[in-house]
Amino acid sequence: MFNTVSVILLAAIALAAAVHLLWFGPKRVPDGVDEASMGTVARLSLLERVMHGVLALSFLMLAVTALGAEWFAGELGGWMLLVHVGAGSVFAAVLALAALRWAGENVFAAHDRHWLSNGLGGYLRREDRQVTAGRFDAGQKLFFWTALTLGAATMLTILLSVQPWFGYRGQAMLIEVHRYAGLLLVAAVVVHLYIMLVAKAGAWRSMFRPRVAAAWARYHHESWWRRFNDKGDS
Amino acid sequence: MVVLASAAAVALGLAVVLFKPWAGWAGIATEDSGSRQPYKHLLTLYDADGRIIDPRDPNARPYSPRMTCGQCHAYDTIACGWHFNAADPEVPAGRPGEPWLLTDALTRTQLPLSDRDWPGTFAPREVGMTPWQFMLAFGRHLPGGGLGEKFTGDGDDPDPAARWQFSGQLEADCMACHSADGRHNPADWARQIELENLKWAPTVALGLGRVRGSARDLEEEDPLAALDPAYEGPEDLPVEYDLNRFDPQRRVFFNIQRRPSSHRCYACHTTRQVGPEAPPRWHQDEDVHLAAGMTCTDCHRNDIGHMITRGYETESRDSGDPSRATLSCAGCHLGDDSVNDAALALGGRLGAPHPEHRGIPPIHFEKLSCTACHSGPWPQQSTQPVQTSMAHALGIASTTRTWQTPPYIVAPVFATGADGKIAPHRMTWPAFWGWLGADETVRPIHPQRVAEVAADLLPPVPEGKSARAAAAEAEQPAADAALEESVIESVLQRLGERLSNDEAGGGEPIYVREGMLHRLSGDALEAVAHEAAAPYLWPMGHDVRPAVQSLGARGCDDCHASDAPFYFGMVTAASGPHARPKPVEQMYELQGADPVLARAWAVAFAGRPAFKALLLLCTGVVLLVLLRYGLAGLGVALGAVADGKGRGGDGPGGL
Repeated sequence: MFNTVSVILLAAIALAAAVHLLWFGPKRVPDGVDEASMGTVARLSLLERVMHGVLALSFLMLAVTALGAEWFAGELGGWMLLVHVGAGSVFAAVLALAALRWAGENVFAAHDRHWLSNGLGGYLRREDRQVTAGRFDAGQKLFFWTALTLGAATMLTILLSVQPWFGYRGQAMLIEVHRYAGLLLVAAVVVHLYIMLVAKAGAWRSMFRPRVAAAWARYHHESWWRRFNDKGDS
Repeated sequence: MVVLASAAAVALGLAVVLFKPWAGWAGIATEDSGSRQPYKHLLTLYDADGRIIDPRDPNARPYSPRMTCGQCHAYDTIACGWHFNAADPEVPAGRPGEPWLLTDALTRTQLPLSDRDWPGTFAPREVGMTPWQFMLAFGRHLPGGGLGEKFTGDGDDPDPAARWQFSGQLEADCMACHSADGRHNPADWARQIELENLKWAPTVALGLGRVRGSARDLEEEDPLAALDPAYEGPEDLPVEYDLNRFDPQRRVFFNIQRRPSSHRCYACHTTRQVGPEAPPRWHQDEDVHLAAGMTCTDCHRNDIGHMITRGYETESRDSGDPSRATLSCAGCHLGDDSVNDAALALGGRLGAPHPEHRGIPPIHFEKLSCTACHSGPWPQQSTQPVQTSMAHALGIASTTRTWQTPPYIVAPVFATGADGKIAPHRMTWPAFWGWLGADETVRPIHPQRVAEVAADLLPPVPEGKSARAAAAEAEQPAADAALEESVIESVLQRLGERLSNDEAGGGEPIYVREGMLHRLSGDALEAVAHEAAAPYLWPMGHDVRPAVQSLGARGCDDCHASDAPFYFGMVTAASGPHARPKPVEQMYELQGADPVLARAWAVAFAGRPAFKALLLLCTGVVLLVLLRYGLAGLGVALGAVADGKGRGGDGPGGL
């Protein structure tokens, strides 16, 4: 059941991404903007980038061990389970740090309604159209809170399962909730990956570099860029 | 008219004879009184030819269970049951069980035998053992039936040494199991088998009478003897019946219980811990089920066909009988949804408690059998020797049996069973001489045959130690009686030289011990791995310990620790009778487990408390963040609803 659901879900996302790419294409800074003359702006601090990187890597290991074991071995055990548990510890720790660090900046603002109602920030419009956003656009915020909620679900189920509170039926239910919460998180991350690597052209650079092109920042995160620019720190 | 009347009379007569219309109302030819009250069995005894026995007859013959019990019970149906059908190739073998162990001290042989198709055992015929030899060797702990009544001695057994014509048949002895009192004596039974008094065994074992002499001493009669006027019939052993056991109507009270008590089962199914580290007998507890007042047959049930429920988890599938599903540990305690009966599907039969297994990750129930945590002696750093009724003739008094009496069986061995789950097993390492064929198959040689050609090369093993000497020996193990490699070489050469090519079947002589196959490579001895040298293991179901003494009751590190016997206990082997046991493997090898992984888990579990603390902290932080911003968002949303509009800004509450 789980294998069928997981394959269908991920295949559906891949299909949707392919259709989106073919129909709408990536959202990029319009031609004609003199990006070079605008310079760069600081986007994510070193701490944030390390945090994000560790979070991504640990989650990748979690997803590969869980889905790999489920798909190819039929169960999560042995080395896969050991790696899963180890990666899970790292993921839990960094997710808590990420929650503390980014929660304040992911609170929804008034312009997020505008972002959401304009073809999800223009990602579902074929014409090039800038939609204002803060440091994180509404899509990123949605992803943040989704990831935080599903992450909490996966952590809480394991935390409860290692306590002598639930019998084997309860344990089995907790593990099922854990598996499906994890699967939904994988689905959310795949969507996030697609947007950051493909649909939002150039976004991936901010994961590795301290600064991003100011033109890119103004186009995708105008509200944040404007405030940032007003401070004269460019 | 006369013809018609005659035909009708004949037909009526036939109908009366064939269908026994009186059987139902007269209370005979039925198998069950229908009452829960035990039926009082006041029985007339019949001999093997169906003649009523007169106990005063000086030439009285032994009673026949087939003819006596069979008056009311379907003997032929019963005799197809699990305890009698080992040699029937049509019967599914099911999960491997305890084999018969052919043991010989001189040739250092301990060889698992079974007619059932259990991997790792050899059929007796493969060792050249005939049914007659098998019955004499192991009949002491067989309930009769099966091979015991396959031959009549009328030239139907190809074994020229067989003496069925004198011994009679060893019929299934109902009282071996169903005797409700202590009158049935297994030791008397064993003695009669030893004397080749097969047909007398049920009578003597039940104490109905005694027989003087042995069928071994009976001889073929002279064909011309019948011409002698003084001829009194063929030589036989008359039974001297105990007349006090008969009532005025020459009936005997058989104190029978339909469901045998555990003590009857123990006659053949006792296992005891032995050796210097074994706890004294009075420290050893019995199975928790028996301690609670149950009997073996509360779970190991059967119908008239006597296919005893063995009680393992996959038995209902193996046997094609779904009704057995709730007679396994899990089926009884947890229920089984696949069972049609709603009550049985819920489990809890006879008040079996419903375990919750709180806090145990579900993977344990996928990887482990129930017995892994609940059954057998608490595991130690090294496996311990055990003795069983079948292997060591327990129940039969002996002044020579010591803890080192072969065969060498160890327990508990945590190995992966046929169902893919890890379970505690009993185990023995085969040791035997044999032939290795060109197709790499191994065929054992009967130890008696080896002794015939190579006894002078084999150093004798001291046997017949007194019990006191054995007690002293417990503190100081006997000298190692394992064969030197040079002896093995010599014996292999001798076997190759002396035994004919027909006997060898084109194979080369080999010796198996300690998990390796030894063969001659030129003049040197070479040890190679071979599946025929692999240890034979059979899962153990008992004794079940109380729940508070389960593995894991003290915590995860009962098993997940770098020195936990479950993974890292040593499995010892003795290279044959009286050889000194030595460690040869660790448990994980028999589980197919990766030792590095097992150690990694052991290390990881040392950090489990830290993991739980970290998880608690992180989950708490994330939940608090969700709560803090969730409540704020909820407040804003409610405010927006109240205001009829949202609030602006890039701060909290924009929506």
